[in-house]
Amino acid sequence: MSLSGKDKTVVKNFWAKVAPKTAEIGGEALGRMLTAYPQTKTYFAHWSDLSPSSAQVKKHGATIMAAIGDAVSKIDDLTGSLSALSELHAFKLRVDPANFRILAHNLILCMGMFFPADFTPEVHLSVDKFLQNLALALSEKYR
Amino acid sequence: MVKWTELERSTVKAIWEKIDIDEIGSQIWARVLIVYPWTERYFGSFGDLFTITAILKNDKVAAHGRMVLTALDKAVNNMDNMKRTYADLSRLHFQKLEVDPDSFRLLADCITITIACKLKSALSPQSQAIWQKFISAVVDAMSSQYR
Repeated sequence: MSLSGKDKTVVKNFWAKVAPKTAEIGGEALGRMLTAYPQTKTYFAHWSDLSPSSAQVKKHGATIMAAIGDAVSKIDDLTGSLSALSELHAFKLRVDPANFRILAHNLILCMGMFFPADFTPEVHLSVDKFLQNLALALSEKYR
Repeated sequence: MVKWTELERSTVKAIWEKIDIDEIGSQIWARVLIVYPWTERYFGSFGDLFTITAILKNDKVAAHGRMVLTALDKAVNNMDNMKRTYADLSRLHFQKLEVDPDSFRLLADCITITIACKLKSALSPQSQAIWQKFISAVVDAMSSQYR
C-alpha cells in the first residue's frame, strides 16, 4: 500500500495544520500507549515514571513526533531518510516491529482528538498509510 | 470469561452514555469503508461506494453503522455474558456473511478513534485503556464461533 501523490499531499497539508501541537500529541500518544498496552512498558523499564503525566514520557513523545515530522518532509524517500533510526531500533533498541502499529494507533487517536474537524476519514486513510510505510522503513534493517 | 472491576463497568457505561448512536454510527461505518477499503467486499448491495463522497452520503452505510452500534449496546449491558450474547451473531458472520474476523479488529479501532474524536480529552488515557479492554472482549465474542 504505497503512498500516492495524493496521500503525500494530504499528509503534508495535515502536518502543517497540526505543527503547533505535534510535541503535545506525541507525549499524549506515548502516554496512552503505555497505559492501554502495558506490554510496551517493557521497552522503558529504565524510566522512573511511565504514567501519562511523566516528564520523561512527554519529552520522548515529542522526540518521536519530531522524527516523524522530519520523515514527512522527506516523504519521497522514507527508507533512505530513516536508515539511521532503523539501525538504532534494529540493533540497539531491538523493538519488536509489531509495536510500531500499536504506537501508530495511538498517534492516530490523538491526532483525531486534537483536530477532530481536520482528521476526516480521507485524512485518516492517508495518515494510516503513511505511518504504515514509516513502520516499514523503520523495520528495514531488522533482518 | 473476562473479569470486570466496578471502575471498568462504570467507565464503559459512562463512555457509552455520551455516544449518540444515530450521530456516531454512520460516521464509524464510513470511516471503516474509507480507511480500509477492502471491507467493501461485504457490501455489494450498498450501491455507490466508489468515492469517499459517495460513501459519506450513502444511506445504507449510515443505517448499517447505526445497526452495528445498537448491537454494541447489548455488550455494554451484558459485560459478563458477551460470548453468549454474541454467539448467534458470531455464527451468522462466520457461516452466512463469511466475514473475515480481522475486520472486527479494524472496526473496533475505528469505533475507538471516532469516540476519541468526539470526547477529546474527556477520554482519559485510563478510560481509553478500559474501553479498549471492553471492545477487545467484544471482538473476541464476535470471533468465538469461527471454528
